[in-house]
Amino acid sequence: MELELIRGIWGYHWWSNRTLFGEVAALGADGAKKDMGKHWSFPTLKGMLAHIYGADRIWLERWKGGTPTKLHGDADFQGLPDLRTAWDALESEQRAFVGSLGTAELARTLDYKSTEGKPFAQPLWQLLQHVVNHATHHRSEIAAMLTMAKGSPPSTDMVLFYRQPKP
Amino acid sequence: MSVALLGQLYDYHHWANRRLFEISAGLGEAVTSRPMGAPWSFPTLKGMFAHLYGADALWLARWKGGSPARLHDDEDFPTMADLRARWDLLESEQRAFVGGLAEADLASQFSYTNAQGTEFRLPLGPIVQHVVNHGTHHRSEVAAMLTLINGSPPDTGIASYRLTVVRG
Repeated sequence: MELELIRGIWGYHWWSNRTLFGEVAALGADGAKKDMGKHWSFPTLKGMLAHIYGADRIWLERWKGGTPTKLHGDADFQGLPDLRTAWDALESEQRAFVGSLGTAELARTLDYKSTEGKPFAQPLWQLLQHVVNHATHHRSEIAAMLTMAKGSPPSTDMVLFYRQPKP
Repeated sequence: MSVALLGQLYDYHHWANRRLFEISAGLGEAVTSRPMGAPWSFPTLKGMFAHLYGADALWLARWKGGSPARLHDDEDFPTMADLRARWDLLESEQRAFVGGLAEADLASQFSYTNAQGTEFRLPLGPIVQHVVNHGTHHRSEVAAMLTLINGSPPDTGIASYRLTVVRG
């Protein structure tokens, strides 16, 4: 069942990221780059999406045994189209990685280093939960920023994802 | 392992809720009842916490076979102190329920009727995860509202929780 739980939250993660990315893209380039205030983790919608991409990417690299030192962010992307291209490739890699996991891999202790070189050791399943939860925090900010920009976007509540008919 | 996976997810949920509740309550009732503007799901900090409580209570009742017709909200709690007392009880019940789940329960289906009378049938394990994800969405709003009031609150990510509280 643990595999089903982890695959479930990752299916949700890809669905909700794409839902909100589409909403942001519909605002146009100017809307995505508009400064929305200092109380957000990142001031623009493009910056917020770039951060979700960056965090997802750094963790996938760690899960594959790498020690990345750079967290990608807003400055790495000219606009939403090049972010989308990079993100599509990342999502494919994530789908291959998550799809390949068995129960034993989920329980495996991962040794990794932070971008500052500090060592950590945690079971892989905790980190798989962390990345989805991290993104939900920022997706909430995106939803509130979209509400300010053009009205509330469609809900990305997890129960809606699970209520959808299975493909 | 899935039982531990959900149990620890709820330890995180309870920790993150308390962390933000305590900071908010420390601001005083006038601040937690102050409308913060339009982009939020609920306009006040108390309203946001009352909704977190309400959703958690609703789903717990559904998991236990009930179909509550009403979602508790801001109006049910005159103060943050009233909400805290009820929430402590709910947290204990929720902990007992999640802690009592066996592997076979997680794969089982449960049925409920929502307030509009529509019936749903969903797998228990995934929906137990839904409640924590729902909480994170609104905790993010609470964090942004607190940032507006008196600066950014401490992080409530799962990684921070594991590394600073559980240490492993």
